[in-house]
Amino acid sequence: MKQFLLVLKVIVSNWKKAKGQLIFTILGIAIATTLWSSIDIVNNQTIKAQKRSIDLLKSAFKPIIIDRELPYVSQMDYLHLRLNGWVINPVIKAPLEDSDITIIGIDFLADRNKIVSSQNNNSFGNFLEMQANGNELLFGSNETLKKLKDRLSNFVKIENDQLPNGTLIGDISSIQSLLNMEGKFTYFEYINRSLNSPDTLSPKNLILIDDNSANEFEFISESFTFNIRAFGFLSFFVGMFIVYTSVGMAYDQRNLTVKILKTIGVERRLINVSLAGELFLIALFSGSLGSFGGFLLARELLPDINNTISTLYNSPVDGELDLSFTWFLISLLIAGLGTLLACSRAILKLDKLSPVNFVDDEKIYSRKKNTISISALLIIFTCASYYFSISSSIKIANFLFLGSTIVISCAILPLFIKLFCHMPQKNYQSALLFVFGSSKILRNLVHFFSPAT
Amino acid sequence: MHEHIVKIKNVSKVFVTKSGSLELFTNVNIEFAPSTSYALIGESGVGKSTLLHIASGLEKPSSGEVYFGKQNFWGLKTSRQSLLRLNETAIIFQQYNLIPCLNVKENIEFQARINRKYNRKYIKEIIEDLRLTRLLEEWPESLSGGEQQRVAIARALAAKPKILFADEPTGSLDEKNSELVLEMLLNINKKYNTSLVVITHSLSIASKLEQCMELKSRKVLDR
Repeated sequence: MKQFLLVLKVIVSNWKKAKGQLIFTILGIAIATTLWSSIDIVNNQTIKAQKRSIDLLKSAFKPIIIDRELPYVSQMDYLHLRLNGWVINPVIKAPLEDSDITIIGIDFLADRNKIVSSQNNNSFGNFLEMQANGNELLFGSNETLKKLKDRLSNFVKIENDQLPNGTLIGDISSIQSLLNMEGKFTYFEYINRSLNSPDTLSPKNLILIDDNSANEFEFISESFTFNIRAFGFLSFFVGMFIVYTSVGMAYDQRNLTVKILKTIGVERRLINVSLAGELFLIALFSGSLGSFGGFLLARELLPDINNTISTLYNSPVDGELDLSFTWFLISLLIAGLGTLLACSRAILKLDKLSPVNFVDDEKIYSRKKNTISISALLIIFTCASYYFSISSSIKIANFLFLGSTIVISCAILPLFIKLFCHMPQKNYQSALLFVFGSSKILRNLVHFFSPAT
Repeated sequence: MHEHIVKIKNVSKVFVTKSGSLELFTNVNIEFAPSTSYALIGESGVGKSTLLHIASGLEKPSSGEVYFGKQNFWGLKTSRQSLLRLNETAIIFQQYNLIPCLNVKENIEFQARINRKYNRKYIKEIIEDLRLTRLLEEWPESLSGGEQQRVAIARALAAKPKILFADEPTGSLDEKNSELVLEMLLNINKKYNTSLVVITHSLSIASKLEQCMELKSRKVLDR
């Protein structure tokens, strides 16, 4: 253990001479983790919203008609369908603000079964009478009504324990005004249609969804979140490329230290374990920093995402982020694995480093030649895909252009990082001071982070 | 009973390049006995440093065996090889090989701490003898060549090796410092029964050591 700590101290001390690379490494891991963890947390909220939407589709029991693009169907759509012989019931459904209650508006006359059993016609008559006398009725289970407390005081609340907990049902016109959705419905329940009505829905924007469609929607939604996650991984990859570059440079500078440790007789395994220990510490610190950044970013993004998702799924995401220890651990794990992957080449290089130096210049030369050839091919490929993306209808050309631009950016990135890290100290300080101003504290910070000459 | 610390037996070294193979030396046999000092001389490029690397277990010979005591070094596991090098040898390199991110004091103490032979009093003595006291908090990069060489020597001595290999240890020192360093090495050689193998160009230094060998025409000759 004492030996491990001694070697670890030597390994970690190397950063004293490579502060620029240390900053890039920590920033790279932290940014990558921020991007990944914010997307992950927002995605989790999105999945919840989707699930509610899918539950809505599945719980409708009957096929439903919705608008392809809008989160509602209109009164005009209703009229068109009815005139074309489609028998439908309009329904309005939305979560009650600041609660876990879903409020549903139905046409009492057409859809009475939802609130009274078929045998209980007397009580239904009473309800209609109350409604006709200007009372606005709201049905819900005892538990649901208790949750309401003093809210919706203008409604007459009627207990109905046949209704599931968390659901309130009222007359469609009352609910429309409650939700400020006059002239709009969430969907139409499809009952049947007359024999001479047209096969297709007359307003082209409408779509009939049955059980199969709900499954299809579920599949599309899953594919959507999968794509978001893939985007998160891509962002993470770009961040890790920064780490790959900065660690590669920092580890090149410690060749001498590792060689000396080997000549002294420090065991190879001990050196590797110390290198891994150092990376673990860096990943832990940067990963925690990144997770915190991810939380902040997700919190900033959530209102906009809420708007989009409400439109997309007819179900808003939760206003508060669902933070969990598992999410934090997963973020750290991703940061750790990414760091290990980004640094594995540099560690392997140090592991193979011979204590007695023999530089194979020919190998280095041929490696450089390969890099130049690959870069040239990539540039040609990017130009070609850009040409196709603007001049033809080949859809994949856009994707290829975006992909190759990212790869080229990653390939050029090391050059910028190297330029920055190898900048003479004076220029380096001036650049930082130019960016951060010239206060005394910042001056000291700039001095601290400037590479030693 | 073996009476050597390190023995190299029928050792040859051949470098293979694209333009052909280059044989540095062939069938070299040397036994380094305890408490004895050796000088290895020879012209530049004949392979003195390579022979020293082979004898210290840093480099594998093309053929032949290297024994640390009774143990065939290259037949051992790599962890055991490292342990033998750590505990029984110390090397003073031409390029000093100081750890750049440790200060002078940490550099001197490092190997001794790792091989658990750290002795504060003994190290203090070495530091004073090599006149390094005022440099202890300095970084290697801020030292002159001669100062760096003295730190490298102090580090090697502090580790209390059974055999000390030195590749041109006085190459970058002035005459006065060369005398001092040589005296120190010989003192250690006698005081702690540490074998000493010194590569040198200087015949006057070689003459102060007990045995002198010359690497010439791919063979090692006793002088």
